[in-house]
Amino acid sequence: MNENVILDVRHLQKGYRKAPVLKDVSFQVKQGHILGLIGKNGAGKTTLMKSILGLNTKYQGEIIFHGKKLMPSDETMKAEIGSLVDVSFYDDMTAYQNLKVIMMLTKAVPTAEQDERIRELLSFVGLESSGKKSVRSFSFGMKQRLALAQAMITKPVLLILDEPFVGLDPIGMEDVKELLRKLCRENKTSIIFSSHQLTEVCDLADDIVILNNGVISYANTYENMKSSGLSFVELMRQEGN
Amino acid sequence: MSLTQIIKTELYKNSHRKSSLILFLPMVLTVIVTLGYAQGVIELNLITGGSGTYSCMDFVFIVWNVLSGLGILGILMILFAALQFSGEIERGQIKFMLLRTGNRATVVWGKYLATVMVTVVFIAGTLFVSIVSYYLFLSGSSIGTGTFASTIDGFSTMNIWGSIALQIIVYLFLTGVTFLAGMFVNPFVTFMLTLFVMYAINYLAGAENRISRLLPNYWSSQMALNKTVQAIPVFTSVVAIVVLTLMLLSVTIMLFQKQDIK
Repeated sequence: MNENVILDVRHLQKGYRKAPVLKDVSFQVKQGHILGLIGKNGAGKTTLMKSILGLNTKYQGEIIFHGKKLMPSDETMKAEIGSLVDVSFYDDMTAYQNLKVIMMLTKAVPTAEQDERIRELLSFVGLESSGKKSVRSFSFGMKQRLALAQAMITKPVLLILDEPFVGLDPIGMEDVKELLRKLCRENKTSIIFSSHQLTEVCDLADDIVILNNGVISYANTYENMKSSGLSFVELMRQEGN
Repeated sequence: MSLTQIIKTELYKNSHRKSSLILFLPMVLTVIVTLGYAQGVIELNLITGGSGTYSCMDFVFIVWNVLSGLGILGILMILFAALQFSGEIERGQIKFMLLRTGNRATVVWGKYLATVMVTVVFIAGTLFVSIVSYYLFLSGSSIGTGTFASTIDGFSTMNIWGSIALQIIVYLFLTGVTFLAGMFVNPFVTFMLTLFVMYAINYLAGAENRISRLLPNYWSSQMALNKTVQAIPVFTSVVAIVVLTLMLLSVTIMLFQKQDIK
């Protein structure tokens, strides 16, 4: 395996109640790269992300992370993966308290450093003045920023983000894109993100994977895709094989 | 992730969530009931000693009967437990734990034990508030004796504590029921189903048969009715309900290990 590859998904298959959702998905993510995952609604993007995160069980195939098979029981590996997939906060608690709850569940941040790390994260996502506000009073965009903050609690080497730009205003989108680029550049964090906002995908992704009807219908670098003159919409319309 | 870490996190969460405030309702009701007695707005109908007045434990027993007899305590405890597991599965908040914890069994155990701890603390708090309320509002009045021990004919203080403790054990079983039901249905249906189980158990406990004698609340009622009870059948009923609770939790864990999370 290429040493640069941080995540290697091999022949992943997953269905719900005998209805197959992922039929045979294989792809790799390189260290410090941003992979844009694109597909129509119901293509299997969220199922794929949840399988990598261990939220889905009984899937077939292999997921290799850092050269080792990713096991749902491996907490050290789990701490190296941050995620934003259908995040639902405790609305009746403050942003600070929500992050504190998540922080208490990991050994990656020592207790003495937790408060400082929460302040850092809130500032990083532009919520430093809203830490003591109840999440119930947050706009959707603010919740997205908080969700991004919780994904980065453990300083993960891999970030899995499902629709991270939904609900963000244009400035918010630019901020998040810049933040993700910074993570890649400075920390060599690898990122998988799904999005229906194709402009953001073009702006951000190094690699493109198009998921269609449970299979990958296209996978290439964004540069190659652009130079070949292919359009996202055309590729998304193609039926998976 | 250790069990202790999950319990600590759950206790932190429960102590900061506004929804946990519902557990203070029995304490508030206790104060209202005490004030009602003190003002003569509420009449007492419990058999008293010769003097027609009430000691602290007599009053604690009255308050307990009002709160548990009407199902107020049970309803609140079931609602709280339903929100802890079923509610978090439904809303997806359980992901915070599953994304960090390697063993789902630890999550179920941690959540169950934390729920039980909170339940017991709030019940103890309610009993404490009823004791304090008695001394604040009733002990010096014409219906208060000012003493602690039970004065009801032939009724010991131990009888009262025993009756309450047996009822609490049933609540812990009902918490297990909410966890199992929560695997299949949403929090509201979980709440309704467990409520049905609670009333079914209470109905059974009121009957005289072999099954009812296996229920701790049957013996709780016997103690409350001032009947003589033997230690062995009481102990057997406690063991039976603990075993049943462990079985419920084992099935919950088994199913939860295989469940895809929303």
